[in-house]
Amino acid sequence: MKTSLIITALTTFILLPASLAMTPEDERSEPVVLSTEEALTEWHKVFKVFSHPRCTNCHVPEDHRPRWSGPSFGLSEGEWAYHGMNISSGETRDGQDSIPCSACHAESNSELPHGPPGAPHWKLAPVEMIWWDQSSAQICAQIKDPARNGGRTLQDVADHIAHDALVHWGWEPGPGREPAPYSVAATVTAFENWAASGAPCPAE
Amino acid sequence: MGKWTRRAFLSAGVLAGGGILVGVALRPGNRNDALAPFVEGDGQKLVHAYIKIDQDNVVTAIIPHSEMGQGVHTALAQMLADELDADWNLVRVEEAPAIGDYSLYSVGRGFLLQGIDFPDIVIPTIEGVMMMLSDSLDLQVTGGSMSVRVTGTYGMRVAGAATRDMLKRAAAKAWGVSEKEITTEKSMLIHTATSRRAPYAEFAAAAAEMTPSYTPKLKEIKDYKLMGQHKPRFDIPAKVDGSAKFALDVRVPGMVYATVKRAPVFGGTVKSLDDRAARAIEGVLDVVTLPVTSADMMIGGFTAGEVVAVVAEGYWAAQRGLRALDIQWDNKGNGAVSSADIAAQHQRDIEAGADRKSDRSTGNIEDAFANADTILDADYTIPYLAHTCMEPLNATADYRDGQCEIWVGCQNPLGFRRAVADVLGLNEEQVTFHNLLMGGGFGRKSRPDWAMQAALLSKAVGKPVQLIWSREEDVRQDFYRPASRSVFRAGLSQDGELLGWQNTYVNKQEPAEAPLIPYAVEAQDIGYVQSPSHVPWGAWRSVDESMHGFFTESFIDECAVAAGKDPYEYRANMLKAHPRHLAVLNRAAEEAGWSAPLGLGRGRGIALKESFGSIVAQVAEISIMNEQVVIDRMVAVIDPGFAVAPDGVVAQIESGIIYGLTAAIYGEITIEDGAVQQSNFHDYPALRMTASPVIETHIINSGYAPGGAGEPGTPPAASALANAIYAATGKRLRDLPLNKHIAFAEGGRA
Amino acid sequence: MTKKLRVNGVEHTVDVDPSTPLLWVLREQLELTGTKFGCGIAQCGACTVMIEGVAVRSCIMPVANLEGRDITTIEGLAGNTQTPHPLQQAWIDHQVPQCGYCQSGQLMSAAALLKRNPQPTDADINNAMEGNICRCGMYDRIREAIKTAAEAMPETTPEQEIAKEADNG
Repeated sequence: MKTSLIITALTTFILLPASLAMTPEDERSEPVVLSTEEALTEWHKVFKVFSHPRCTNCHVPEDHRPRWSGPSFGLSEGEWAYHGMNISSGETRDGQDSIPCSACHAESNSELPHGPPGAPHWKLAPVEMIWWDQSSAQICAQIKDPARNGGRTLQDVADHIAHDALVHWGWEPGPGREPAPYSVAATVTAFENWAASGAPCPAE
Repeated sequence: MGKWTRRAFLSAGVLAGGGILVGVALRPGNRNDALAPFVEGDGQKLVHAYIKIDQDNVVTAIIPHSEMGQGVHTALAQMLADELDADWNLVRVEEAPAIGDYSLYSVGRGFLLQGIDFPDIVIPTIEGVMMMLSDSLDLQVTGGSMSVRVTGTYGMRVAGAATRDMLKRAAAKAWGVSEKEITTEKSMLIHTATSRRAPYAEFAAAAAEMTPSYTPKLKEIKDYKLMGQHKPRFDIPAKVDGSAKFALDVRVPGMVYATVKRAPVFGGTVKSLDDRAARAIEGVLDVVTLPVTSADMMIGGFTAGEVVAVVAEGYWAAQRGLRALDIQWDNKGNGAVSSADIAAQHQRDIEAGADRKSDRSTGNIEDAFANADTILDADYTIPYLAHTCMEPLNATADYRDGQCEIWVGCQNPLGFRRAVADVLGLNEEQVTFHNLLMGGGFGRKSRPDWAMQAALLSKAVGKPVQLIWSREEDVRQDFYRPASRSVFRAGLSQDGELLGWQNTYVNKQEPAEAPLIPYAVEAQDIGYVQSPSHVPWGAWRSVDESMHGFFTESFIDECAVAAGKDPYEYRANMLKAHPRHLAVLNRAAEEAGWSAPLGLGRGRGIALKESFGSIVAQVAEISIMNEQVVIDRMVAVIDPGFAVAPDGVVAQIESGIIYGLTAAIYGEITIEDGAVQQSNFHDYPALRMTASPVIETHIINSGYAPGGAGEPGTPPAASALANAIYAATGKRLRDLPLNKHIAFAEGGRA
Repeated sequence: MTKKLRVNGVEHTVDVDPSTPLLWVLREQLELTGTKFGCGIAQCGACTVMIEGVAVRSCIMPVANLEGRDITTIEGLAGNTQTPHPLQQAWIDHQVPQCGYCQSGQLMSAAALLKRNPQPTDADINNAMEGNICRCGMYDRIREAIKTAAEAMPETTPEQEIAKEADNG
């Protein structure tokens, strides 16, 4: 029964990818202004998400090579490998100069064990948004810097988390992969609370 | 490539009954006319079991071996056409049908009487005996690198030469001239003095009435026109435009699809099955449990556990249905076995040495060790390996009215037909067997387990069924190259001379000579203990040769290092009694530039292994970059006696090396809780393009009896690489796969 | 569910579950069996086809998203001509295939590469072909055949290729 439920869910996803790719505005709570200490706790939640393998494996540096890390690859903490098949996204970050990400990553997850995950516009994050092997303080500084966050205000970043289908994939990563912690909504809330409280960054 | 026409291929009964004996035309007075209806088309006259010549002067070679990419159809046709003096542009190939009488007696002879040259006078008698033997063993096997060396030499060439003789006799009679004055060239009979020329076809009918010579005069190497030449393979054009028909491409009207899951712990049975969710999936037609099956095949029998199958309108629905099954298995007491347990058992059994059997015992090993200046001990271990043919196992069966028609790509059509008949409770005559192109074989496709499943499923659902295994099932229900352990002790004199060589390993299959070494060591004690597990054994490209190639050629390297000698020269000094081996080794060293020094962080390794009648040496050249191994190139030299199709031999060596390196670097099937843990290429990887080395292959045509090519490239690959790693890093790796102990650049395991 | 698929320039209507990977629709509904099943999870590349000129593993690509897109399989690689595609000719000249089972996928990956990059370097070829496994190990020959085909192909820029595609579509 469990299996058939999953199938139903996936079918829905395939037919209506937009339905999961949105956090309805009315579900978003007003941000709360918190103490710096409390705000850092909120940031820590955000960092736990950003530093999760579902995110960092594709927020990689200018070698343009996606990583494989995390328990779903059979790797323990600290262990990692480059994505199999010697994959390099090239400067376009989507592989169009060699083998496009979309050759194997469809717009939805494969339902087969170890099948490729998928989401719309599957590609690496822009090179300036490195999260791979970065500390909490480094990612915090990066996410506040429009030159390194896609020219966004913090509100834009929150909206991006709230609406982007590829970002949402982190919480719906397909069979056999551990999802990013919390949820889209909880992450947006934590991010907005942190931003409303002065967006403090942890010390190095 | 000819094969059978689609119409004939899909019609039941066209090929049923009657038959032909391969090489029957080689036996005077025993020509079997029953062949004619099966291989004769309109206007064609059957001349010989292996040959058809039609009115357009087209020569068709009927080849009793399966094409799994080794180019055997082309190479065998070259042998036949050369002796026949046929016009190569008019030569075609068909694969022989799986009719019982088509048993490959010559392959049987190769297996049973290997390496014996028969005087011409006794050949007819031996042929007769062998034909009976092979009939009873169900031989129509492609394996053991037998095609060219046995079928080609004893079958194709003799058939071609005998046919040419008959054509000449027929022409001589019609023209009223002496047979000796008639020459042949490009499928034409020529009498120069009277300026007469006629195509073979003109005398095919007359020749068919004659009694062929069973000992025709064969050409000498200097007279070869086609053998030894590169001829483009017949099978290639259809393999670049999608038109080549593999077993998976068979389409039978009304057929449905199925996929299966066999008890994950080998030999297990179904304890309980809840298939409600599976049956609820759209497109799922039925869920069928298949019983424990076994077959007593030629190369080791097997028993396979119970199976649950989902039959559906398409593979995708079947696959979804399979994943929705809730099955509890009875593991029959093997549910706790692990690879570590099996490895420990191997070690115990070797140490106990109970029932140790000897492969070779010469000199006095105890004296040799007593007199030695240095004693060297080493233990080598290897894991189980799967085959992972590119084409997942599949078969299409149509059982109706007590008859079964079945389409498979396999290495042993007759054995498969018998196994299918047995499991259905039919006679062999009630099974019509079609063999198609194989997407890889490597030994896996000599076991008929999956074909038996397809036949049972068609009978169960009353429809034609195409059974397709998932890759996961393929990895987890293979017949594995066995895990093994090989323990060595060597005794060296003060100046490094090898005085004694002792070796005990677990699990011997075949060929018998695989653990033997060609080196001049006076005292040798080589033997084994059997240490069976519940993991099923299967022939894996080169069978035991691949494991001993790693064991013996790594340990001899250790001996060279211990002796302070160059590994190449050390070997060469012990090969004086084996000039062919020495020539191959020398040539490999020369082509690889063995004596030219390499820079820091680079290394070369050499290995030499004779197998299946051919001798191969390989030199691996590697670099260490960023603490990772990069294989820069592999140099290979093969002495196959004579390379009938040189580019085919080169391709087979390239292929054998990549297959061997893949296993050496990544290959590891592990057992946990009694079952295989790996499932697909993500955790049982294959070498891909980036990490694959450049391969240079050189052929020595020594003129000795032809050897195989499909397998001999694999055995030296692992040791050449491991020896190169030692040369570059000082790290001696005695356990496979190598990437457990050292990192490889590009495409490493996930 | 009914889907319209355009394969090798021909419009087909198929009735399948939308989650069905393109591979099985090609093989079972359209009887285009040149595209092969190898692993089912985009690990081996045997099922590679081109969609809008880009290499795609058809074993993981649900047909749900493919309506209105141009799909090319091995059967359509040479187009409507009787002449083999330069890659197919190079494959014959270099005697690339052994068992041949992976070669449809190898050829489609190579064809997609040459569309984007008509003069690829060895590294370009390695990158583009890394997703295609050949258990017969014919990688050297594949690489050389791609270079031969690149030389044999008329000089067109990727933009011209795309324009040509649009004309054909």
